[in-house]
Amino acid sequence: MKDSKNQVEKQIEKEAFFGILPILTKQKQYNFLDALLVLGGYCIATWSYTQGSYLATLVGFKQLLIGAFLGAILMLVIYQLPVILSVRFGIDIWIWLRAVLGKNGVKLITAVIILINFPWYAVCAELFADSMGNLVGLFGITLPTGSHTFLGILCVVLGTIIAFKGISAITWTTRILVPLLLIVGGIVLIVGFNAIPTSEIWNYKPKETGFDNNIIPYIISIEANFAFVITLVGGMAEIPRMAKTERGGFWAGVLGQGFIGSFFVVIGAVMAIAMQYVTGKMIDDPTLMLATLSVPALAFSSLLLVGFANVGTQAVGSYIYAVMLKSSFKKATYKFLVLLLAFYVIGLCVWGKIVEYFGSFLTIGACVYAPLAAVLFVDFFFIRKQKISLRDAFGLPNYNLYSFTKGFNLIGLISIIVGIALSLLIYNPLTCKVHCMTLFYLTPTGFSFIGTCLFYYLVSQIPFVKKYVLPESQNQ
Amino acid sequence: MKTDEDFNNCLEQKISEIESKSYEFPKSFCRNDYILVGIVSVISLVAIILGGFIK
Repeated sequence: MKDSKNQVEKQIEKEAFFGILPILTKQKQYNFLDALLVLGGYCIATWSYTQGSYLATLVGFKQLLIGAFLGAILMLVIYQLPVILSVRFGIDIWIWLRAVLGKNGVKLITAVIILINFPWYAVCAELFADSMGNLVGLFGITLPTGSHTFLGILCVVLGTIIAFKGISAITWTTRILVPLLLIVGGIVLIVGFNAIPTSEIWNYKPKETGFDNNIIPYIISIEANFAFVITLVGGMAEIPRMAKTERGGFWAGVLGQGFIGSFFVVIGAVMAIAMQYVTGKMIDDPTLMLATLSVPALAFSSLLLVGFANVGTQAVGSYIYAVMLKSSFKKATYKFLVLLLAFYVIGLCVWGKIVEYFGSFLTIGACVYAPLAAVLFVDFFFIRKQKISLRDAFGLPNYNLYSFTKGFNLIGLISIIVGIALSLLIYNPLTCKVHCMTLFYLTPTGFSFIGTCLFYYLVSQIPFVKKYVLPESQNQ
Repeated sequence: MKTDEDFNNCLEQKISEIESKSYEFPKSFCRNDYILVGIVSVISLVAIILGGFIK
């Protein structure tokens, strides 16, 4: 009898951590440092180097530092504020978003988010395969054809195994990996600064940005930082909802991405600048950077760790997005969702062209994330004012306040569409064409965020719309 | 958690616990935290604007 009771409790615990049940205060296990390490570890992947070298093609080093740290932190401290709801109620933001988008609206948007966000993990796997291939190359071994795809799949499989083991495996992986990576990052930064005169890095300016007006590449670099950090909006609450304090959960997300993640972006930029100085080419492949600028032993250990950081990212990403999907598709098991995501990434790895088409995925993604973050922000602070009917949000039997129009909250969804349109109205990211210079100063992501906030708030003040958006006000 | 009913019962139990007067919420975000967020935002924004003037 006692055994069966324990089993049920374990099952409930599992549903809470890998599912959608609220995590009660007594179940919470993350202090600020643990949450910071998990989220920081999630942000340290080889793509940070890609972002760093991309920024170095746009702006000088001083502007790059401002954008990478303060640009990221500005966006994070604003858009991540609603994670305090996740800490408070122990729920994912997607449960709250059922009141903003409707039950079916959430299903639609989570599916879109997975489609546009998960190619990041295929890139992660590709970079892991590159790193491992180049590592083996340091020993003069050439891998056979097809091994690249195999290594990419290996990254996905390893990450999936860790995600399968659950949150404690993820926590311990990051507890060990992240401090090591930070040390390696520091060493790599010193290598970069020692490889060429420090003044060359400090006074670095890109030779040709392709723009006549110097302010445009600076704004694009700020936009790139905004877009880079806002990609986590869909999965921003899964770790903080296990945090013991609202303050700890919030700052772990802000500093994990805005400081630890940005630190690696800057390292990527330093290495790219050093590579340009030494070889005349701005190379964003960390393997080549380290092999060229560093001693082989350091290059080997650094690359090994950075390579495996991609596995850690894959693991945390699988956990975060499987739990996010669970909020919408509650009948699917956690393991099934992790496997589904793994197959999606493996499919992209086998396809092998994700890096080539990644710009398109990013472009679409950046347009969707800002409006989504905006409607959540406004709804939490100004529409629902931090109060929600949990029974209706979870859709318990006979609780249908948030059913809206066939499960879609049309106002929330229209606000997101308006936000996407606002972003595209001022800037075309595919052609890099600025349509409205005055509004471009706010950056496309910034303008889309502010515009969506205003639209959703103002429309919700119209009496009949307010009744629709805030059905609980009728019951009071 | 084999059936929807089990799940709903468990959910109902958790929500009731959260709504009970004795439930202790995690330490909440206080006024000082919002002030800190405001200060960090303003400093970051000013630095970004000034960054645009770096030649």
